[in-house]
Amino acid sequence: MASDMRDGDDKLRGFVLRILKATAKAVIFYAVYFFVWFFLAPIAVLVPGLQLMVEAFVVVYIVLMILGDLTGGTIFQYFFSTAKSLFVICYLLFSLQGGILTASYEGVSLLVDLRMFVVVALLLGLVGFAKSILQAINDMNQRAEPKAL
Amino acid sequence: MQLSIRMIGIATTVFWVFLAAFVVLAVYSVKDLNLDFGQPVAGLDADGDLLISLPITIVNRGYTNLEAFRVATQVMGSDGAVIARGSTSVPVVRRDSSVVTTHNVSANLDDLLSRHGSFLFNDTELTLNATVGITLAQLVPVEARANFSVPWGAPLYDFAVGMPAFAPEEATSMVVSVPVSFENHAFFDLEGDIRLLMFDSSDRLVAEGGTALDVAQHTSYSGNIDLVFATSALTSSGKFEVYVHAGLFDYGPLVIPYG
Repeated sequence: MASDMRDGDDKLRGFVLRILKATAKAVIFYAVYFFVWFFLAPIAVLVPGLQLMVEAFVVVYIVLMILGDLTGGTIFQYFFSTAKSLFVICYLLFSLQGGILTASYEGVSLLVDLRMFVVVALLLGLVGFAKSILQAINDMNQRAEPKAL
Repeated sequence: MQLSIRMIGIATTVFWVFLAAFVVLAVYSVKDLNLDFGQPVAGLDADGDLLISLPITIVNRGYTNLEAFRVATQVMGSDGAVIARGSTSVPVVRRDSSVVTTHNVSANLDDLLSRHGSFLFNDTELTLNATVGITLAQLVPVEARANFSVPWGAPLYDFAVGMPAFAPEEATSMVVSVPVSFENHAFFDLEGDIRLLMFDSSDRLVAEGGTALDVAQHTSYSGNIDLVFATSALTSSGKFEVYVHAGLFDYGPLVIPYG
């Protein structure tokens, strides 16, 4: 009975810690976004809808990050980690239109070739994706290993 | 394996930070880039071709060098034929430095006006395709394209040769006075001369004469060209040939029958 109560307390303490960790990470991530946005603000004037697009990315990314942290210690955290990596890859591909951005303003058409940037970012996204898969495999391996008596 | 995965995580985080820093640098390269296009100057080059020069000042106060700056222009007629083109490139504009260059577009007006006579007599719209490109932060090519309509003013707009007025001058000779008028809608002054040749019905030269031209841009000209010829050479029909010689072009013959 006493050990059950201790287990319950430990679980609650662990959950609260995970919530605190997730909150701290979300706040830090948002602070980094806020800091980087301060520097990117000049182009927001030139590209309509950029802030909305970036904010949507940040919101989804933070939600997946929080869910991943809340499900820490279970296999689901790797699902969310993988989903986060896939979201980054898909978001980059769709939002940057394959790396060739075009815009028209008062008869002037502008073309920005971001293919190099997209390739590097996609590779980093793929590395993150591979890392999540490896983590999941490693976790499954550790669970499957017979525990020493 | 746990350590390897952790190292992959740290490495990717470091690379993401580098990538974010690179984006910020690229953005600031644009923000601190100043392109100044001066007033275009039209003139003649050593070959006598029309030369339009556009001074360009590039000031790079960004954090990275700018590469492959290029300006290309193409002037096309209403039929899509290319009339003039020019391109200018600057390989590198180093950070905290400025470069002054001149973009030249040249056109052989003589060749142009002889091939497309309508440019001499009719106002029209020319299409100017302009492309400006630059590579930011040594990795991000940016290109801007624009199409403009540029009005073309004909130097001999509404050119007209009026009815020749014949009058006796002496017992054996006559004088024919041919009124000539036009409007110079061009962006340049017309300096040169206009020559008139008179042929009889058997295409034999009967008389010739001319007058000097000095018609400022956007002004009209009206004058008479007098030709003196022997009365015996006058036939009931024939033709006049008009030749216009200006500094920028030669045109002729413009055949006008009479009789």
